[in-house]
Amino acid sequence: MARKKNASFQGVDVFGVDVDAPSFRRAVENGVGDTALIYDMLTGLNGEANTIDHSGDGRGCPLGLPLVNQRIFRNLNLENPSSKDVNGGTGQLIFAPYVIFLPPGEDTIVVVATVDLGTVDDSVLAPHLIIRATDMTLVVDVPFRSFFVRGHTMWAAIYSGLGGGQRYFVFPQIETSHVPSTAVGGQMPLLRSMKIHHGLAGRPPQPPRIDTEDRFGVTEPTSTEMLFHKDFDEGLFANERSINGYVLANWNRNLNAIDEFMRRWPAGGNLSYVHVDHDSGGSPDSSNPARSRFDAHTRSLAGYPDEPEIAFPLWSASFGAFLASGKFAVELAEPPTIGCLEWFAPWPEVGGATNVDIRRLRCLVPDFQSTSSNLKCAVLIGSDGDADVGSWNISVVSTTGTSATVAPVACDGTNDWWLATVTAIPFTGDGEERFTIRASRTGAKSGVGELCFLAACLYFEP
Amino acid sequence: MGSKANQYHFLEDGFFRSLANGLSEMINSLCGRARHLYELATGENPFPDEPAASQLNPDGRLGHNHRGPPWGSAFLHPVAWMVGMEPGANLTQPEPSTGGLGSEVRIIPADEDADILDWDVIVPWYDDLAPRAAAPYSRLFLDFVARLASGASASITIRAWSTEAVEAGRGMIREDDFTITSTSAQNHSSVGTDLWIDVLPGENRINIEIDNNDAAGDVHIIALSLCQAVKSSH
Repeated sequence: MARKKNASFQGVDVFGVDVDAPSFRRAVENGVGDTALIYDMLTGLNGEANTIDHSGDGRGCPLGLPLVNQRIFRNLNLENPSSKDVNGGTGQLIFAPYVIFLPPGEDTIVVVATVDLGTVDDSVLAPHLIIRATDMTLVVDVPFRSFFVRGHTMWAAIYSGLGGGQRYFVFPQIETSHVPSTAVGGQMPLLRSMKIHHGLAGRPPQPPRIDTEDRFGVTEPTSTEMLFHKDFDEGLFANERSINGYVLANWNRNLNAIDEFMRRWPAGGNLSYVHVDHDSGGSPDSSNPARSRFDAHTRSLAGYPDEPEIAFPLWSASFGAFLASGKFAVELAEPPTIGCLEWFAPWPEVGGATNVDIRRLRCLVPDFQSTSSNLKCAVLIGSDGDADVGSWNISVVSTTGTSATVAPVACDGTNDWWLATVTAIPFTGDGEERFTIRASRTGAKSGVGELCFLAACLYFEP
Repeated sequence: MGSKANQYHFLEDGFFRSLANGLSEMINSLCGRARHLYELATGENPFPDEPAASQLNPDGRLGHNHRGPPWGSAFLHPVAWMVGMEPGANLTQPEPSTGGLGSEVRIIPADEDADILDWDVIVPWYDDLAPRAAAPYSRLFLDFVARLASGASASITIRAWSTEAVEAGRGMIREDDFTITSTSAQNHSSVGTDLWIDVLPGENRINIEIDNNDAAGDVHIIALSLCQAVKSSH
């Protein structure tokens, strides 16, 4: 049997669907083949390579979710800074470093810092945005535009031209060496929050139609089906074969099934669904299903091991300021008393280097498959030029388990910037997890300036 | 040239019963819906020389984007966050101080309250589902890690709202109580409680007030996130 399916979408022109159109049979054949193509792209069945993974370019609309919405609320005051470009000194201060995972299909980010300016303003601080690739290659350096919105100052910058499916360093910076005097209390800005998103404008909400009864048939899937789909042999569309109700009726039901499955909305505006998420016992469970009957990239149904998995940015946070010259925002002392004391990047101390927990996050996690975890964590580390950063072991501890450890890798030849990428992080989907970024070291730490933790991001990447 | 747009011209089963007339509207509907579903699935107009056949999604883009029905099942994930770490012997970080200007995101002294005000958050665009129940992304729930500075137990009241949602009459100030029972980091969630934040699509100013109802010891909020918590509707 040769299953009727089109290799690419064919469609039908309006003349093919007009009354008495001579190409009536071809219209049906193309429509059936197009529907089979859509089914395969959504389910990953029948060896379809161009599955819907929301990577854009005909592979599904990118999800467009914001990458960062972080509340910081820290003063950027500098306590008795010494000279420029030394640890705890003045200079170009990266006031909120980020490492982000840009999903495939996206190319634009908008970076917004909400601040309350003290007595030092933009003309002195010259806020600007630097984006770098993970090898520290400069991508762009653009000034922030300053706006006063709803009682607070916003520094905003936009850049288009990034590559989707890649990590980037986002370094918003200010110049502190021109601050008139050592800024103590109230002179430097209060950094309230950071946002990084794709600048989507949205459109007014348009609620869909709802009927008063179930008029449009949707065939309930069997226990091993994600959704109903009737295949048709190519022979049904041979020349001089008649078009019959069997083809049309099942084609109609194929379309209705796909409509409800993909949109998670009753087909045709029906009053109720046919597809229902189930728990492992087969009972309806829309909150925490073991088997999702909707397009949700869960791979929760055993018979659908090829359901497309997607890249998904979960969280990205800055941990504290760092100097762009590769120096700490504070002096190298434990504890420091000079520099940006309210918001500096933390570090594990010289005296203890075993399983030091750096930062915590607690959040909900999507219902993605966790048997072969695609959850990763990129951790951005700063150093005072110490090559021993590679002796550290970085892991992520979740409520479910602990990942394997990885060593940071230097981003460039300066040894000031390092990136650790933790992979296969255990998690339990469709519920709450607590993630802790943890560090440990083989051997004793050589000095205070060996490393500090600037930022991290969690993301799914199949 | 592609077929006529057909998002809503569905066909009842009766059209296909035995001996039913073969109506051109049947093929018109079937072909048109196939094109609509292709655009919805792929986010691509297969005939770029003519307008797309389907509506734009809430982001203003073509295709389904899992922003809740009818744009696909929504995902559970954090939308906004505050991160920190409780003080530890082996970690050098900003010193915690009253008001939370340190490593922990908020410290609520005994028998006092603390505020998180005017937190600028951008909420993903979503469609309301009126008259059905509230849409995904229309409510954000709090997941947080907390601990006691001392003592055995403390009760806190958390109150939260979005300024934009309240001013538009699309939300209200909601609150609920939580009990912190450990000096070690402890997980809490407002999912399933009376506390969530009604939000509008786009820019929201989030406000969170935390009252420490206990006179015995401080409560430290170590980390907190605002999460999207449903797949289809609340």
